Parts: sequence; structure tokens; C-alpha cells
Amino acid sequence: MEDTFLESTWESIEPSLHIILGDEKNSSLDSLMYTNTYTKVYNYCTASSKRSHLNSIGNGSNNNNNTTVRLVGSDLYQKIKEFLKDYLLNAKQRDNESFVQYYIRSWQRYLIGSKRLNDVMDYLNRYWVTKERSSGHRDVYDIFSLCLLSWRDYKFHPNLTTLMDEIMEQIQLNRQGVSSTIKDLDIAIKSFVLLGFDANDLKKQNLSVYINDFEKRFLTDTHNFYVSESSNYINANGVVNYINKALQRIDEELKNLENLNDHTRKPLNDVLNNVLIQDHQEKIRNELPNLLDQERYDDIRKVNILLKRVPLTLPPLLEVFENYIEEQGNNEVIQLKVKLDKDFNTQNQIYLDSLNEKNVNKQKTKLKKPIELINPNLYIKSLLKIYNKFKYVVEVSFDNNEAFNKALDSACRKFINTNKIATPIPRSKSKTPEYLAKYCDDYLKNRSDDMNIDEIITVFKFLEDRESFETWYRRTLSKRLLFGNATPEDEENEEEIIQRLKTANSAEYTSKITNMFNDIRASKNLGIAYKDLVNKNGDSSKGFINDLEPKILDTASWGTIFKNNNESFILPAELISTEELFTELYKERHNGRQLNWVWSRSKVEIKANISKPGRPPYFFTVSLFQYAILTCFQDEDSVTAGALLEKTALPQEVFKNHIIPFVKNKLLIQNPSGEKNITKVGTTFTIVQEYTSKKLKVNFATVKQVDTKTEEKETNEEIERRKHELLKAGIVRIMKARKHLKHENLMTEVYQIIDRFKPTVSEIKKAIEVLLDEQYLARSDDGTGYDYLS
Amino acid sequence: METVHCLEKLPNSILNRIIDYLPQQDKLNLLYTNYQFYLNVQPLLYKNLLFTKATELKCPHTFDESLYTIVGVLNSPLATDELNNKIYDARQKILLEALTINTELCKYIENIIIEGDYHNDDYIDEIEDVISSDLLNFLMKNCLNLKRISTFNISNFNCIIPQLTNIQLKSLDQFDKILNSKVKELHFDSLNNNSINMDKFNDTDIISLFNQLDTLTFNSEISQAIILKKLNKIISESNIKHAFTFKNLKLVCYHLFDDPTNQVCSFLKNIDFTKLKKFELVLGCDDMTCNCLNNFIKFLTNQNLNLNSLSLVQKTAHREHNYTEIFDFHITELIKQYPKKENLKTLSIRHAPPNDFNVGDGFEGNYLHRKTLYESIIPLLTGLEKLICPTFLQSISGYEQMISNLLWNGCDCEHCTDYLPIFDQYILRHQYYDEVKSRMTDMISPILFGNVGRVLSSRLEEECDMFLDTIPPLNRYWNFHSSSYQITHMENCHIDKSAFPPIAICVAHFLQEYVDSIGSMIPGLQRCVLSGVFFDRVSSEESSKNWYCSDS
Amino acid sequence: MTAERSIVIITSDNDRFNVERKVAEKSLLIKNMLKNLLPADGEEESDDEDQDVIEVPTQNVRSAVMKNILEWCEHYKNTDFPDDDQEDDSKKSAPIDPWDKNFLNVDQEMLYEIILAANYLNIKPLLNAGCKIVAEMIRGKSPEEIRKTFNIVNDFTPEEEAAIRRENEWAEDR
Repeated sequence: MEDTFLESTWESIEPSLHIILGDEKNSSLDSLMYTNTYTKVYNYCTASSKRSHLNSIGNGSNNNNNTTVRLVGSDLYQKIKEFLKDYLLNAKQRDNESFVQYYIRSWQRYLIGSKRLNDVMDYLNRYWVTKERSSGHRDVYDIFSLCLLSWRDYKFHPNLTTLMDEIMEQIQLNRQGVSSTIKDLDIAIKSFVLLGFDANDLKKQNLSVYINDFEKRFLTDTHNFYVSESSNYINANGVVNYINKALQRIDEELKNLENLNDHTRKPLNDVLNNVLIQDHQEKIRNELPNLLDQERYDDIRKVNILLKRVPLTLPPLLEVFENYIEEQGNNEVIQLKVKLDKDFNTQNQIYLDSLNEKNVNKQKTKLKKPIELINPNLYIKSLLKIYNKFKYVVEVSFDNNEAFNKALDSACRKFINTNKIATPIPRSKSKTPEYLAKYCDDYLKNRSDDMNIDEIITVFKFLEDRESFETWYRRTLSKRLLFGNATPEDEENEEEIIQRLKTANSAEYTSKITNMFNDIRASKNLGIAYKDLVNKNGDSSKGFINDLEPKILDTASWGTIFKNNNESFILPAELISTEELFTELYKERHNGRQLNWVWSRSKVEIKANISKPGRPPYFFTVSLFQYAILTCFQDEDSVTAGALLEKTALPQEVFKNHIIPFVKNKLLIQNPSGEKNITKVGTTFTIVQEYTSKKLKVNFATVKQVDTKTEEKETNEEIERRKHELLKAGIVRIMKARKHLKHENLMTEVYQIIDRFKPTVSEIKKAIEVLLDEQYLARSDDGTGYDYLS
Repeated sequence: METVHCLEKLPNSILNRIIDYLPQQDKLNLLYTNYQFYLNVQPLLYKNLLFTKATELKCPHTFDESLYTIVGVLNSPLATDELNNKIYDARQKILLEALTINTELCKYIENIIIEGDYHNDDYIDEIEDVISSDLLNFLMKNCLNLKRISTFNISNFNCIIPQLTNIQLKSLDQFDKILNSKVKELHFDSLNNNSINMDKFNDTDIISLFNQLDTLTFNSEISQAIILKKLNKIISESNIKHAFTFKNLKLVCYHLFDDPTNQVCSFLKNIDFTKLKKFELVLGCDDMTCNCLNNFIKFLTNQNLNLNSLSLVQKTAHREHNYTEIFDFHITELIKQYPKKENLKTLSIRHAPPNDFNVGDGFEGNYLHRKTLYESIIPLLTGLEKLICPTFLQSISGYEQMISNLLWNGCDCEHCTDYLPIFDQYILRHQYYDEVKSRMTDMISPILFGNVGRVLSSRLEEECDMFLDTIPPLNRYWNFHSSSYQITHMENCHIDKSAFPPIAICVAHFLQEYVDSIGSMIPGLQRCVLSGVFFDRVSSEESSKNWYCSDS
Repeated sequence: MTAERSIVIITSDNDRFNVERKVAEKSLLIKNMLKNLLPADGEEESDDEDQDVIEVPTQNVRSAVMKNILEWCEHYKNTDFPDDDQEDDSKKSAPIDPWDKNFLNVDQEMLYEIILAANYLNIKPLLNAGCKIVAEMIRGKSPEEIRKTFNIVNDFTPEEEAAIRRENEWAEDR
């Protein structure tokens, strides 16, 4: 009975199933056919079969399935399954279409049909299929899934090779620029996605079919295609063209991804990156120096765009870039050196020639012997030129990328600190800090337009030995402060530099420099206070120098100023009261501080009434020592050297240096003349009665200065001292915290905390030795480390 | 077509639907009528079994009773434990006998819940106390369509058999058993073994496990941290964005030592929120100044949430009322910022009142402040159908003045006029151990009603609040004496568990006022469960008679 | 979508009901059918003038029942019910909506016909309400009372009845 009902039901619905799925004539489905089919299926499923009375209640004698109520549906389901099989096996490709065209066409129609069939069979789905699946029958599917499954079994799998061949053929044609005749290829590809589903949960998408049957083949073919294309192309057209090609290919492939499942994005990217970039990275990378030589920054930008897709290829590229910059930096310095040497040689030749000519023509102006000197301006400018050039490259070609900036910095650090000019002898101390300090000096004194603070700070940031710079800077600063006539504008510049150095480093780094400024300011105030004090005394102010310009300088900051301040000297009597008054004032203000007078740095301005009659008096600027000498001529016109030495108590050498300007400028007449006679006891000096000079102001204080060599030596000594002190302080700080450390650990920690310069091993060892001697540290018992002694 | 119909002739699919709505005894009665109904009812009678030493709470206006068939004890609150145990054993024996004779019945069994006894929180049962091992072993061996065996309030049961799709995992030792299994609902309980090395499991297996899950719940922050750490690591290493399609999810966001927000959020970034329907959050942070929950809530409300059901649970109990106020502030903020409020159908909020219901400085201001907070959000939930607050009465018990009103100024109906004096007497005659004062103290109304609230709440026992409406409510009784509070009487005392139903009614009358006010704020609200007392709206007209209450 | 086409439901006894699409689509059968037969934006057909009216034959529902069904659909036309019934299992234990209860207060035969039509037309909320009404009719009745109410003939022998009682005794709610 059930069978006949099934048969009659089936007979009445089968014709419409063809129309629903799509027949040859493409007949359309109307609502009557739709609801009729639905109703037939509904009626079939709801007709519960009446069973005969069984005798199995509660006593287990008969446990067959007939005792349970089962929903009807299984037989109908089987029929549909068979129907789908027949339907799919009978559908045929047309003569005028390729398989893939046929596949796309029939799949599109079948997909629509499957959705309709699913809805028409809704009642079967709702009750029988749901029930079966929930009781664990994983081989029963809703009708839509059954349709897909049938397609997979009868249409897809048997023709998979043909299908894939044709799909790949289309993709390859597309890559070769042949426009495809087949539309909607993506529909075929998307069918792979729909055909994979999870047997346990039909609603969950499963990419197994897509990945195994499409993606694998697609990736392999893509790989092979680009392996051959890329190596042919790079060999035939060169690296630069290849880069353009590769970028274009990547663009195209990523655009085509829209037609594929997103799952392919990562593996496709991997393939492209491997084949188009990683496999050719060396060639591409090696092209960089050439491109840099030719300044083809746009091409370099493309190199970057390409290579940064594969982060692994960047470190070697960075290395090439860094080495290139370093090389360029070194070359630039070598060129400068060659030019300077050449200039020097020319100058020297002219000088030597002039020496020869001198014998011939004595009237010629005397040429100075040229000194072999590096011009700090030219040197620093060379360094900056390289930095700026490659900073521009980083910005334009490398997106101002952090890593490339680092490479640039690292290269700059190398060639700025170590090069033919800074370190003519390998491993010697770099002179760049010194040159930079001098460059600053020049900038601050002259403020030429082609110099600016940014440049100074740029170079400064690369200095390894900032301690040297600071010392040199203070040295030049002290001269500017003491001898220069600073305008407000100058002071602004000075302050800006200090501010910038402070930001680039620390407040502590610039503390001494700042102190120097403060000293000068404080001195001014003290000078005013002194003047007030003298003026207040009214009549009793006689005997005091009114116009005192004191400079109170802190020993620690001003360093070498205090060098050679041990000359014996007797202060002229008329100045003693002034000294005492000022000392009193200072002590009153700064109780407990020690005040040392630096006589050698003192200057005096005097009015000299020794002009021709009727002419205004001269103003002489003299050193304090010279003043002491001149006062001896107040009462007598001629004084012997012996008497002068006795009265002033100056050492012979100092005396000599200070009296020479008088003799040279014909204020004093020496008898007998000759340099070697100056300090002889019997030599007499006579002051002229009427002095003649073109200028009314005469400066005699241009005493022979310490020469540059000595200055450099002194400064370097100071630097060494400072470094030594910093190291000692650092070591003590570490050991105080650690109490005990092995030698190598101590070394490591020292390197970590000393950031202003790179101490050498021997410098550290020396500092440790001293600390051992001074009993801050002791060698540990096993001899491998040190203990801190509190 | 036939136009004359009778019940018998309805299609089986419809009959099954009808039978599915029948309470247990009515299923039985229909089954006895004739052979066709016998065949139709039996699968549904055996489908869901609940083993418990309690009885079903009668809900004549709703269909809760139809959810599970209970294997339990006698209906009367007066039945002694001894008698009940005898009956319970006997019923299990009969069931085992029936299943042995007619093995077809085994196929019908799909879900089994085994509930340990409620012992005033003093201890929980071992599995042997609740179900005979003969029966349990038989079920596990022969029920091939079994999808779930869950236990509540049972300490030592851990069952993973291949046919299950709903698994409670109690030890990570068993983790490899669920990889490549059919599991769709996975619950991580407090794990016994936390020292397991997760790296020994295959990454792909773990990912596909989470991909296949419909339900994922973490009931302990420790197991959650272990699992999420591993999962986040796999995801971040594989560099593939995942979209887990959980329908139900429970997470703990508890800041104990480490701020879990980052871990939880990076996990949540891999979830397809459009699929998520039920979401439960256990929230807690014991640092008043910490911002972690604010950040978490901000993150959450920016997701594409469209939930049916939201459950919020306060993690830690605090005496200090400020903490609870902060929790309330957080969850009201969450609801205010929550995007699709109108689609939210179920909301449950569980607080963690202190065990002795003694809220430090539990002054009126705190009560009023909290009330205002909730009144500001409840009207926003326009689509809400169900509101569940398992700790409502316990929270109110923290305010002595409020709860004493229940006793002394409460309802003046006949029932309450009769019974409230009895409980007043009870308070006069009993003492309890006050933890704060460390001594025996005269009984107070917070202790009485706090405990009544606890017992009433235990009518619904589920590990997750979001599933509270999937199990039938049970009758629970309290004998008004407790060893954990050391409640003792001074003179002879007649109060025993038979006094519990009357006090439940008094409580229901007290709660009615709240329900009316909530109901007027949400016209679509159909059910309101406050501390296990059910209120179901039976008429849409506005009057307090509109609510049918489980205790009346 | 172009101008709203009107829908005419044709019952088994050839009565025609002109209904709003929104109302008709409370039936998932009709909703799915319309989705399938009205192609998205001008594919195939649609040049037929007659197509302005869509006829929906419902072979299993007679006019008197359809009238009731459409009343229900009209009442709920602005309510969104989820298409997927598994989504909303929390509704299972909910009480019957008062309006539904009143609406289904009809004689047993009409009730069954409405239930059957709801099942056929796939209107789940109505089907569920109908089934709950029947369940309430069964509730609280003894087996004998149930037989009487629903005209069920006891076809058990006394032995069978005893065996059944024994088999399910564990579930007796006492």
C-alpha cells in the first residue's frame, strides 16, 4: 500500500522536478506546479502508516524496528537521489562549447534549481531529514546539500582533470595577455567552494574541495609559470625592468584574487614572493650601488616596494645600503684630504720660493710659513654633504623607513668618527669632536649663512666621543666669553646650541657650559657692586681702581684657564688696596669660597701721556704683567733688566714674553739689543719720550699665545683626565650597588653606563688599577673579580 | 481531503510536537490510552532524563515541566529522607529493568542530567550518591544516541564517551579525547589538572575543535587562561584570521593577578559575533581603581553583537557595598552602550552577595542608588521577554531595613497574616553564628530571608546562567536550620521544611511589587524569575493579576 | 523591487483571497515560493501582463480554515519571527500568548485544521501555539478522561496494559 502511494506520488511529481532543475527547453516553473509538488510531497510525508497491533509491549520478546514510530521519507529520499544521478549523467555538453563553458552554464542553472528543489521538498527536509540527522545519520542530507553532493559525484569528480585543465588554460591565457573568451570563470571556481561542506554540520563551510582540487594545482601552475618567466625576463631585460615587471605581475595577480576564495591570498602571496622576489633578491640587491651611483631614486623606490614584501630580504639590503654610505663618506673625506694636501703643497712651495726670492728682493712682504692644518669647516661640510645626500635617499626612496634611517645612522657613525682625517693613524683618537667644536666656534664667531645649528647637532649626534667635544667646546667657549665682544644675537645663538646639546644629551652634559655663562653674568653683577662700593666711599675712594672688570670663574668649568697660574709676581703697590677691597667684597658675598687671582689673564688699560706735544694721549692695552713693568718707568727713564725682574718677581721666560711687544713697538729701547740679551741683568730698557703710532689705541697685550699644538695637547690631557674621572665614578657606582663582580661583568656594566664616549679596555683597566690603589676596590680572593670596600 | 479530524489522525510530526509540550505525568497518561500513543509518547518520555533527589516544581501555566523527565523522589515535602531514598532507588531499579527488557528504549535517550543533592552548600554529592553505578554504566554502554551526560553539584564524575556531542571537561588530561570527536558543546569546568602541557596537542586539531563548536563555556578563569593562551598563540602564529561561529559562549573576565582583558579580547577578535546568540560573562575586578572592566566593556560594545540572551555574573562577593555598586555600574554601562538592545530577549543578572548577607554599611543610599541604576536601563530593553535574577532576594536581604519590612510591614493577605507571625517567632527563638562578630547572635531577618532566597534560587541548577531556561525548575525545601550558619533554637521548635512552601509564598507576595514595576517598564516581558520564584505574564492587561506566580 | 504585485491565495475549494505580500509571507511555504518564482530583477518571463497578480494555490487548505489563518497572519504581520525554528528554543516553555489562546478558542475540529494548515503552510509560531493548546487540553487528565475527550479507543489487552504500567512506573509522578 505504501509502495503504491510512493509510486503514484513520484509519478505525479517527476515531470516538475525536471522543470525545477532545468530541462532542455528551459520550461518555466509556475506557482501551480510549485505548490502541487510541495503538496504531493507533504501529503506523502504526513500519511502515517497505520500499523498492525504488535505484541512486544514491555517484554522484549520482539525488538524489531516496527515497534517504533518512524517518520516517512526514506523511500522518497532514495528516489530523489536516483533522480539527481540520472539527471546529471544525462545532461550533455553542447557541440559548440568547451567543457568549462558547459560547466559554468549548467552549474549556474543547477544551483538555482537546487535551491528551488530544496524549497519544494521543504517538508521532507523539515521532518524526515532533520530527524534522521539528529539521530546520527550523517549520510542523510537536506535536499540542497544532496543536490550539491550529486553534482560533486556525477559532474565534478569525473571531469575534474578536464575542468582544471581548462580553467588553468584560461588563467594562463589571461596572464599572457590574451583576453579570455570565457566569461564568469569565477563562477566555476566558486563552485569548488560550495562543493565542500562539513558532513557533521551542513551549515559550516568547508574548503577541502577548493583547497585540494583547485588551489593546489593553481599554486603549482602559478609557481611554474613565474619561475620560468621571471628568470627569462631578468636575463633578457635587466634588473630595473624586471622590478617593474614583477610589481606589475603582483598587482595583476592580487586583482585576480577577487575571483578566488580569500583562503588563497596567503599561499598565493607566498608563491609570488618566493618566485618573483626571494629567488632574485641577490640580483636585485646588487643593483642598488649602481642605482645609487646614478642617483636613480625612483628605481630605488621600486626596489624597496618590491623587496619589502618579503621582510627577510631587507636585512641584506640594509647592509648593502649601509656599506655604500660608509664608503661614500670615506671617499668624500679622502678627496678633501687630497685637496687640502695639494693646497698645502702649493702654499708651501710659494713660501719656499719666497724664502729664496727674499735674498733677491728684500722689499717683498714676508710670507708666513704655511701650517699643515685641517680646515674644520670644510671637513664638517664634507661629512654633512654625505649625510644629507643619503637622508634624502631614505626619504625619497625608502619611505623614510625606520630601518633605513638606522642603516644611514650606523654608516654615518662609522665614517664620521673614523676616517682619513679624523683618524689618520688607525685606532687613534678621533679628531672629529675637536673639529666639530671648532666648527661651532667658527659658526658662533662669524655666523656665516651656509652654517646652521641643525647641522652641528646632526654631526654631534653621531659622535662617539662626546666627552672630547664637550671639553673642546668649553675651551673655545672660554675664549669667546673672555675675549669676545658678544652681541645679544651671539648670546642667543650660544644659548640655542646649549639648549640643543642638552636635549640631545642631558642637562648634566651641558652643566659646565651653562656654569661658564652664569659665571660671566655673575661677574658683571659683582663688578657693578664693586663700583657702587667704591663710589659710596666718596673721597676715601681714592687709591681704588674704579673701573674693575672682574671675572669670577669656576675652576671646574674653565679648566685650562687656570693652567700655568703659578708664576711668581709682585702686584704693583697702587693696586693692592683694590685687590683687598674686592677680596673683602667677594668674601662677604660668597663666604667660604676660595678666590684665586689669575694675574696672567688680567689686562689693564692705561692712558699714556707720551704723545708729541699737542696731540691727544695714547691708550695702551697691556697685560697686568706689562703694567707692572711699565710702572717701573714712572720715576726713571731707564731701568735695567735685573731691576725689572726684581721688582716684578716675574720668571725670566714670562718677563721676556711680556716685554718683547714694548721693544718691538718701540716703546722701550733695549740696549744691547737682541732677543737673547733681554733677560741679562745688565741690559737696560729706556722709555721713549715721544711715542709715535698711527693708532691712538695700542694693544700690547698680544703676548705670544700658547701655540695650537700646546693647546691641543693641553685639551687632550684635560679630556683624558675627565674620562678617567668619569670611569672611576662609574665603576664606583656599579661596585657600590653590586658589592662583588667578576672582571668581565664589570667591564660589561661599565660599557652600559658610560654613554658619552667609548672607553677602551686599557682606559677601564687603568681606572680599576687606580681604584685598587686608592682602596675603593680590592681584588677578590679567587682573583677573577673585585670586591667593593666601603 | 478529509475534513473530519481527530487527534489520532494528526500526522506524527504534529503529534510529537504536542507530546513534547506535555509534563511528565501527562505524557504517561497519554501513553496509557492506546497503542498508537504508546509508540508516539515513548521516545519523548525517554529522550531527556533528569536524575535528582528532588521533585518537579509545578508550573501549570507554562511548559517548563515538559523539558525533562525526572527520575526522582516523592512529591510531598513531608516525606522523610529515608523514604525518599527508598523510592529513588526503586525507581532506578525499575528503569534499569525496563531498559534491559526493551533495549529499543535505550535509543530514545539523548540527554541525561544528574543533579547532586543540595546540602545547604555544606558539601556536594559524589556520583554514587545520586545514581546507581549499575544504571549509569548500563546507560553509558547502551544508549548510542546519547548526546549529553551532565552533572551538577557532583564532585567526581567525568564522562567522555564517543557518542557525546555535549561534554563537560573536568580535567585537561582528557583533552586529547575531545580532539577529533563529535563534540559541539564544550564546557570547561574547574579543571583538576592544570599543569598539562598544551603544546603536546596538534595545532590544527585544536583549531578544528573550536571551529566545530556551537557552545563554549568556561566556568573557571584558570582553565580559560590555559586554553585561551594556547589558542591565541596558535592564531597569532598562523597569521590567519578566524571566525569561530559559536552560538553560545561563556567567558570569565576576572582580574585577580593578571589583567585578562587583553587575552579575552584577542580571543574575541576571532569570533563571528553575528552567529553568537547567547553570551554569558562572569565579571570581576577587586581593584577599585582599575580600569580593566571599563576597557573590556568598551571593546565589547563596539563589536557586532546581536544577542538573544545575555547573562551577567558578579565574580566575587564583597562586604564593602562600593564593590557591588561598581559591578552594577559596569553592567548597566554595558547595557546602555550595548548596540542592539531591542533584539535582546533574555537577560540574567547574578550578584554575589556575601554569605551572611551582611553588607558593610548597607545603608539606604546604596539600595536606592542601585535601584536608580537599574531603573535607568530596564526601560531600554524594549524587546526583553525574560528577566532572571537568581540572587535578587539575597541582595535585598543585605539591607536589613528593607527585608524586615517583608516580615513586619509586609503583605496583609490571609496567607501572610497567618504565617508571618510564625516566622517572627522563629526569629525570636533562634540564634546563628555571626562570622564578623565571631559569636552566636540573635537571629535576624537578613539571615532568614537570605537563606530562603538561596534555597529558592537552587530550584534552577545549571553551571551556566544562560542555560537556566533549558532545565525544569525543581522543588527545594529548607528546614530552617543549618550547620553552616549553626542556626540553633533555644526552646523546642516546630519549624521544619514543611514551613518552606508558606514562606516562599510570603516572599512571592513581597516580590510581586518589584515584578509589577519591572513589568510596567517592559510591556513585552513575559517571564520574570527572582531568586527562583517564577512570574509569568498570563494576560496583557495592566494589573497585578496578570502575573501567574509559581508560589501562590 | 518594482510595483508590489498582489497575491491571490486560492484554497482547495477554489475560494480566492487577495492578500498583502507581508501577510502571505508569514507562511514560509509562500515566502520561499515567491522568492523562487519571482526572479531577482527582470530575468526570464515577467512580460506577461497577467503576471501582475500571483496566484498561490494551496491545495490542502479549505476556505473556512484559510480565513482563520489569514486573520492570524494579519495580526502578526509586523512581527518578525525567525525563519529557523531551532534558533528560538527558549520559547518552548513560554506560556501561550493570550491573543493566540483567544484566537484558538475554536472547536476541536477547527483547531486541528488550523494546526494542519499551519504545518502545511509552514507557519511555525501558529503551529506551536496550536500544539500547546492541545497539550493544555490533555494536561491534568487521567488516561480514561483523555480517551473520552479525544475519542481514543483503548486497544490494549489488560496484560499489555499491566506491562506498560510496569515498564514506565519509574516515571510516575507521585
